[in-house]
Amino acid sequence: MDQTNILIEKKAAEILPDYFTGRKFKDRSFLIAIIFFSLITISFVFLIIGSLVLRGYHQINWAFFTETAPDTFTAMMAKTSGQIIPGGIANGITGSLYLVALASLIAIPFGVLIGVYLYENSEKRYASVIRDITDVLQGVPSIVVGLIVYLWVVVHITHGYSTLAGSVALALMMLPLIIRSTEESLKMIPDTLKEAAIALGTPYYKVILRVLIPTSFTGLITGILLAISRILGETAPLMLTTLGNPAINWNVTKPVSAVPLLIWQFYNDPNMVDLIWSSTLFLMGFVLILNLLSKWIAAKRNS
Amino acid sequence: MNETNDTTKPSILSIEGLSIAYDKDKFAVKDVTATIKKNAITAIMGPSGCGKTTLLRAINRMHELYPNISTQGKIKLNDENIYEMSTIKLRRRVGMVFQRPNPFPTLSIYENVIAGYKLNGIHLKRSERDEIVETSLRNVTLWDEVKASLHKKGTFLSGGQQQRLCIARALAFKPDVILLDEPTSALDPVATAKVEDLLVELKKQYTIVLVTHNMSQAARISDNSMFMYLGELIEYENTKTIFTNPKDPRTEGYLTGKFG
Amino acid sequence: MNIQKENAMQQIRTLFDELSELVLQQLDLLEKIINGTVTNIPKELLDQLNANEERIDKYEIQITDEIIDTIVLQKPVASDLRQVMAAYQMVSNLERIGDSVMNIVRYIPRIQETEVYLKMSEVITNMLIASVSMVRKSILSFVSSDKEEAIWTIKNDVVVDEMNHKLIRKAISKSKYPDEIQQLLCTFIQLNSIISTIERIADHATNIAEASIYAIEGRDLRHQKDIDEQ
Repeated sequence: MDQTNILIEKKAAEILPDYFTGRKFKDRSFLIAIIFFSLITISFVFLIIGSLVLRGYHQINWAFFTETAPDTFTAMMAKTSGQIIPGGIANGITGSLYLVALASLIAIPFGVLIGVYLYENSEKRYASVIRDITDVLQGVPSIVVGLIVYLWVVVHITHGYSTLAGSVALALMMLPLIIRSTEESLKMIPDTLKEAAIALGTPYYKVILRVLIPTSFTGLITGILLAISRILGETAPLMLTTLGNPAINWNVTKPVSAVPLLIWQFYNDPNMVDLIWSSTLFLMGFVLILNLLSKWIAAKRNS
Repeated sequence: MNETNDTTKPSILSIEGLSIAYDKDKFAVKDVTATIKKNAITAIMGPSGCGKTTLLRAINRMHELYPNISTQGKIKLNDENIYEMSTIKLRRRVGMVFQRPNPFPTLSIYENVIAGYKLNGIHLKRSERDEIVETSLRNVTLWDEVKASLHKKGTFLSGGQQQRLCIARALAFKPDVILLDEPTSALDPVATAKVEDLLVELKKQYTIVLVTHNMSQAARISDNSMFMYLGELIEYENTKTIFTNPKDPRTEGYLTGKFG
Repeated sequence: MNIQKENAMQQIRTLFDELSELVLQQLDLLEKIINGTVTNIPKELLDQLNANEERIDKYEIQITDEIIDTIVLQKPVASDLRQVMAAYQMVSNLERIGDSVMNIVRYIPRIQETEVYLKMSEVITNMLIASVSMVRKSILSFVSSDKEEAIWTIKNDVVVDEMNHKLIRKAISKSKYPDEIQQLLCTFIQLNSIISTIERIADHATNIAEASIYAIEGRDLRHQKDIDEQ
């Protein structure tokens, strides 16, 4: 039997040389092309990280995390004497964390509730209207969000640049992401789980709170962490709402700094350019950690 | 048509003129009247789309989850009309087990059994909880198999074990009636046999109503059988009689495989 | 596993045991009668025989119903199925044994030449004992799954057949009657056999008809006296 097969293959190889080798050739060349392009893409990531690390590592020390940004004089002095610039970005780090915390406090409850509402009433007309509005909100350019919040909060509420304004702007940007991911995570829960809870006599709101949300918890957390990593890097809305602060600030009605804002400031000041790389490195590192965290949470829940 | 020949047992559920419609004029269940006997296994069988699942779900009012449902007629559980009862109270007295085993994935086996109490926020002492879990798991012959891993998640159990876990979860409230919607259609034959033996054992303490598309299963374990077709209750009879000498030619046709 | 099926099989076995006990009891009573010295059967014996016969008929219906229910509900296979089908056949045969006992009991009082009867009774008793022994062993073989007993029974049938053929002829030839009378007697005996067998053909036809009504309507007409009522 095998002998006959080999014989047939040989005959085929003789009769159809182009077809036979042509197909193998196409397969192989396709594979090579795929490998090649993915290597290029990956290498870009490595190049970016690489140059950031090279340029920024010497600025990272304990002071980086604990001291506020230096003023231009100290920076100029350090540069001319060839030393690393003293100070750090503590005001930016605390500011970013403060803004993110406040924004999450606003966006998460609203986002999750709206997501639950969309899931429960997905057939109603009103729900599709809300979904469309959410999509629009997601597409609004970040600077436009900043302008609107400037009008609402900076002008009318806090009468000046403030942390509150910044968090509201960031919250508006987080909202569509959280709504969508909540709805999608809830949709992934099989109906039969809901039915099991209802058949046990559970009132509906408890079904949502104690079955649906815990079961879709991974999806919700992932959505929230992704939203957070998105807004960590937002600069434009912050420029119009909180402006920045050389000191660490906990007052909600006063301006606060943020890491992206600091990066912009360093960029504009020729003496502080070196600090850009370290700040950027920090930001990217933070985002990376958030991503890894969300993956770890997902893995833990599934085990 | 409404009563079986089995007059030895008292009735516990009385269905009176029940009609259920989707969208006002598409009737899923048409004017069904029947009494379910206590401590017996009653099987509801019929071809797909005959309304048997809708009828079953009407007994614990789960059919109200479907959109645009309208219900006429009554169902009485021990002489109380279930449509005037709170659904929460009703569902504690009438438990349900579904076709695909559905233990809560985020809860452990222990927590799954107690889930009815937990989800409702009913607080029990530790000793009471332990007792309920052990009794329910013993009743479904799962205790020995899982007692060493009560705090692991329920999803690592086999299909048959998961389904028995779901039955234990329904038993935790010590309901009067247990409704089962094709409980073994997703299980292999060995697991199916275990669940069937379990139901025969359980009927001594509970009343069991079972929807099945497998008439051999109805023949094997039920005491009384209902045959439904296009929403109507065609024949409701002692199982032996319905399988040896059915009165309605439609029942005869279904049983001998002429349709369905 | 499968409690319901086990219960059903056990129920059939129990009822079968009870029926066979009853039939063997009838055969014992028959032995007593044939062993006796008179052709008059005492009333208590007759009453008991009749009572048992009624019960045997009821058992036949009950067991065959159980068997049909078990087949339709539990769908036995392999050895379970064979057991159940064998039991179905055996029950019918047991009932016929019961009927035969009652037939013999009806004929005995009609005998007018009591002397001849008493002379023959020993031989008849031997034949009866042999047949009863066959019944006992065949039932035992089923109940205890021992095929040796069954094989013995099948082999012994030859013996009883011989007895059947030889018994009357020997008695006639041994009697002091002249040859023509002897021949006449033999001829009557053969005619009787033929007529009885024809009667049995009619009986079989009746059984087929009863079964046919069962198939069509599900009504069981066995042992029912008056078909006009239905």
